Amino acid sequence: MAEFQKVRARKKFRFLDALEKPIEVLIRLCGWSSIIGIAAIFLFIFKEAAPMVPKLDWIHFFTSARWIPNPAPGNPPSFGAWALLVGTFATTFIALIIAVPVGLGAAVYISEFARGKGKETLKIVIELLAAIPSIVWGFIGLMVLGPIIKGIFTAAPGSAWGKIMVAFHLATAETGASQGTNLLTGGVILALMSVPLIVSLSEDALRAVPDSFREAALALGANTWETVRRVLFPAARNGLLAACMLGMGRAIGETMAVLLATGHNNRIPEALTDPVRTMTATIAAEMGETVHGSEHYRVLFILGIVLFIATCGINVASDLIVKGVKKANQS
Amino acid sequence: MKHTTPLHRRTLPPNLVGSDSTPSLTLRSDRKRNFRDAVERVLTRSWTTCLSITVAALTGCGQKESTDPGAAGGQRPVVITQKPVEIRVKGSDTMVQLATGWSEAYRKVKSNVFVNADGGGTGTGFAALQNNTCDICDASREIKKEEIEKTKTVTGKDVKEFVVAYDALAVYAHPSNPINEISIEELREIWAENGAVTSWEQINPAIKGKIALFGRQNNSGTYDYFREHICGQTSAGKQRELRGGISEMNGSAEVVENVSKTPLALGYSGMGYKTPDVKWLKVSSKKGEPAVEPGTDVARSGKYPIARKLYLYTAGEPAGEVKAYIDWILSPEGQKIVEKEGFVPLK
Amino acid sequence: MNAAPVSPVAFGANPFAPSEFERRKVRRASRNKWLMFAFCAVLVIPLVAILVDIFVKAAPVLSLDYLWLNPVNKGKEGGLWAPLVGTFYLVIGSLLFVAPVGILAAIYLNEYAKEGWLNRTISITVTSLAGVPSIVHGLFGLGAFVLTMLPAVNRMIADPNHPETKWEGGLLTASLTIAVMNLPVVITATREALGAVPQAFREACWNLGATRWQAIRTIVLPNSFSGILTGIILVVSRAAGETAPILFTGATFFKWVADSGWDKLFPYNIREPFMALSMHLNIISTQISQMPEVMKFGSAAVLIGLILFINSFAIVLRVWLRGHKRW
Repeated sequence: MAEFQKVRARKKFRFLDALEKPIEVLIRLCGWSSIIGIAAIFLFIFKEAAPMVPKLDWIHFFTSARWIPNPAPGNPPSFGAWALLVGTFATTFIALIIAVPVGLGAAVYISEFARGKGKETLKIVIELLAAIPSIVWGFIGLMVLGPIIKGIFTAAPGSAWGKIMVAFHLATAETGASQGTNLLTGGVILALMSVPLIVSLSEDALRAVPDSFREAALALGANTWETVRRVLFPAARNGLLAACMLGMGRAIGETMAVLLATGHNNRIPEALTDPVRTMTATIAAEMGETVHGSEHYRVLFILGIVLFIATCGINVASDLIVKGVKKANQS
Repeated sequence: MKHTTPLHRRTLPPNLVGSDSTPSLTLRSDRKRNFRDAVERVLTRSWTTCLSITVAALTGCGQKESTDPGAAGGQRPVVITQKPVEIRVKGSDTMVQLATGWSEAYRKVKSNVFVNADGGGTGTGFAALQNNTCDICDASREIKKEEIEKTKTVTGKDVKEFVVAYDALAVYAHPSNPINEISIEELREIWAENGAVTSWEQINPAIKGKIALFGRQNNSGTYDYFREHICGQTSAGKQRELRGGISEMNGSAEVVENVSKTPLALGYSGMGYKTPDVKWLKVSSKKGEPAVEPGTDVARSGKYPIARKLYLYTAGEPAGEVKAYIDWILSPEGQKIVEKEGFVPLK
Repeated sequence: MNAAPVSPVAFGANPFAPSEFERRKVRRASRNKWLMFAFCAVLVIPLVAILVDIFVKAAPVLSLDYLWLNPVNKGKEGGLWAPLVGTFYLVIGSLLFVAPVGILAAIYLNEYAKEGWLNRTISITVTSLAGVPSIVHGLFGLGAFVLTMLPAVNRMIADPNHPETKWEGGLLTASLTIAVMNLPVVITATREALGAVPQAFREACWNLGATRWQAIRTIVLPNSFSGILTGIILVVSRAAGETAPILFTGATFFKWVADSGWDKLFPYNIREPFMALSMHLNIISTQISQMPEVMKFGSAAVLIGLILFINSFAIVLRVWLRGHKRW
C-alpha cells in the first residue's frame, strides 16, 4: 500500500515538473499583467477619447461651467467641465477635512492606546467598514444621512438659524438646504468611505516606526501621548501623508456613492448644502445614454482621462513617499 | 532582512534536480490530527482538486451557457411547450416602467415569449437599434433625421414607427406650495438659460425663497421634449437651452421623490410618476388663459400644452413574435397596461 | 525636573507627589487618549447604528423566500433571486480570470523577479492600478471589451443573419472588467502571503534538490494557501459589491429568469446582459416610481449582509489558521 502510494506520488510529481519551463514562462507573462493592465486602460480610454482631443476647446473645458452636451438641434454643444471639477474637489475637500483627523486619531488609538481584545475588535470593525460597497454608501447617503442633514439645515424664513446659515455659507437660502443629497452629504459619505483606508494605512505607518524610538522616548520620561506627538508623528510623517493622499485618491475616484448622494446639480456650490455634481457621477449618469462615438461620448472619456491621471498621480506620489521613507530608514 | 547571498536566485546543477527518491515535502504533523488540522490539510493539499472541481462546475455552466437559447427548449420544464423567443427592448427611461409592465403582462398571454425591457435613454435605444442589439426601441421623442439615416446605412432597413401611448409632462410642486397654476411663459423664465425668474416671489408674493429646480438628465427624451416646448427661442432664432444649476436626476421617479421632500421645489416629469406626496401645477399656454391639469383626455386632445406621444421603433417591418407583441400592445389589453402605469392610452 | 521652581517641601507632605507640570502632562495625555478613543467611537457607533437601522427597516421582507423568489413588478414585490444569482456568476467569472493571473503574477514578483527597475515598475503599476477609479475601469471595460473585443468576436463567430447568435456586453465583459479591477488586490494579498513563508523553508527545499518551481509548488504555495485564500475571499466581496464597472459593461436592470427548474440556477448566458444585486439596488433606489421603502432597504440589507458575511468568513479563516501556524 505504502509502496503504491509512493509510486503514484512520484508519477504525479514528475508530470507537473515536466511542465516547469512552460509554467515559468506563464509566470513571467503574468508578472507583466499589471503593466499590461494599466497600459491597456490608458490606451483604450485614450483611443475612445482621441478624436475629440484636438477638437475640444480646452480652455472652455477647464474654465466654463456651461455643460450642455446634448444641445437643441441647431445649437453648438458646450463642454464646460469647471463645475464638475469644482464639485469633485469640493466633495473631496470636505471629505478630507473630516476623514484626516478622524482617521489619524483612530489609527493612533488603535496602534498606541488600545490593547488586546479591544484592539483586535477595532481593527476587524475597520476592516469590515472598508468592505462595504460604494453603492451601499450611496444608499445610506440617499436614504439615511440625506434626510438627517436636510432636517438639520432647514429653518423657517427669517429665523435666526436661517440667517446664521446664510451668513456662514451653510445654505444659500434662509430656508436651508434644498435637497438632502448635497455637497455636505456627499462629503460625509466620502469621508466615511476613506476613513478605513486612512486608518489602516496610517496604522501600518505607525507600526513601521521601530520600537526603539518608543522605548527611547519613554525612557526620557515622555508619556504615551508625548511619544505619539513628538516622536511617532515626525517619524511616521511620510507614511501618514501617503495614507491621507490615498484617502484623497479614493475620494476623488469614488463613483456610486457620489452619484446617489450629491444631487446631480451642475453648478458651482456657493454654500455647504448646495447640490453639486462630480466628474465621476457625470460619467456614470451620462455614459449609459450617449450614442457611442458621439462628441459627448468622447468628452466623457476625456473626463475619465482627467480622473485617471489625477488618481494615478496621487498613487504614484504616495508610493514614492513611502518608498523614500523605507530607503531612508535602511541607510 | 538582508540577503547577502540571494540563494533562491541560484540555478541548481541539473544532476541535483528531481532525484528519484524525492519525498513528499509537506511537513507532516503527528497522527492525532484535530479537526483544524484536517481542514488545513484539505485546504492546502487539495488545491488541485479544488481547481478541477471549479473547472468542472464551470464547464458545466459553460455548456449551458454556450447553447443557443432557442435550442434549449427541450430541457425546459413542460410548462413551456413552444420554442422560447426572446424580444429585446431598449430605450427611454420614461417608458421603462411601461415597458416592464407590458413585458410582465405579456408573459401571461404568451408564456414562451420573454421580453427583456431595458432603459438607458432614448438615444441609447436608437443606437442599439442601429447595432441590432435590440428588436424594439422605446422612444419618448420622435426619431431624428440623422438617426433614421444612420439606421438605414448600418442595417439597410427603414425605421418603422408605432405610436403606442401619450404622456403628459407634469410640472410638480410640493403640496405646501400655495401656487396652483403656472403659465408656459413663467416656466420659460424659470427654466431657460438666462431666464429672469429665480425665486418664488417673482411668481407669487405668497411664497418666498429660491426655486429649487429638478429635472431629468440631459440625454433623456423628457429633457429634450421639455426644452423644446418650454424654453422657446432666443432672439437669434435658435432654440434656448435649459439653465445651469438644475438638479438633473437620472430617473423620472427621482425627480418626484425630491420634489416631495423639498418645499421650494419645482420639477418636471412624466405624469405617470405622480405620488400622493406631490402636486401637479395646472399649466396654461399663456398668462390669463385657463390653466389645465394634466390628465388623460386633455393630453390626448392636445389641450394640455406639454403632452407628447410615446413611440416604439423597429428596424424594418416587424415580423413574427415582435409583430405579435406590438399588435398586442396596440390592442385594448395592452392599452389597459398603459392606463395602469399612469400614462395615457391611445383611445 | 528642573523646570518647576524648587519649593520647600512641608514636613509630612509626599516628596514624590507630582508637580503641577507633571499633573498637567498626565491630564493632557489622558484627555488626548479619550479624544482618540472618541474618534474611533465617532467612526464606529453611528455606522453601526445606521447598519442596524437598515436591517430593522428591512426586517419585514427578510426571509428565505425573499432570497429565493424572482423580483416581480420592477422589484416592488417578490424577492432578489435573479440579481443574486447574477452577482454569483459575475463573481465566479471574474475569479476565473483574476485568480490564476493574479497568483502567478505574485509568484513572479515574490519568487522570480530580481530587484531592479522592472520589479519596481511592476510594483508601481500595481499600486496605480489599485487606485484607478472604478468608473474609469468601467470606461475601460466599455472601450476594450464591449466595443473592441466583442465586435471582433462577432466577426468570427456570429452569424449575421441570426442576431441571436451575436455576443453583447454581458457576463463575460463584466467579469473581465471586474477581473482587471481586482488584479492588484489579488497580487498584493498573494504577495504578502508568499512573503510570510520563511526563506529557510525554500532553502531547505532547494538543498534537497528541488528546482525553484518544485519548491514553490510543494512548499511555498501550500504554506501560504490560507493567506491566498483570504485574499481571494476579499476579491469575492469586492466583486460582489461593485457597481460602477458593470454599469456599461453588461449589467441590466431587468431580465427574465425562470421561476423553477434548472434554468433558475443557470439563468444567464455569458454573452447576454445579466442582473446584479448592486445594480438592482442602484436602480430601485433611484429610478422606480413608488418603490416601497422596505424593498429598497431589503436589497441594501441583503447586499450588506452578503458582503459582511463574506468578509467575516475571511477574517475568521485568517485568525483561525494563523493560530495554527507551524513556525
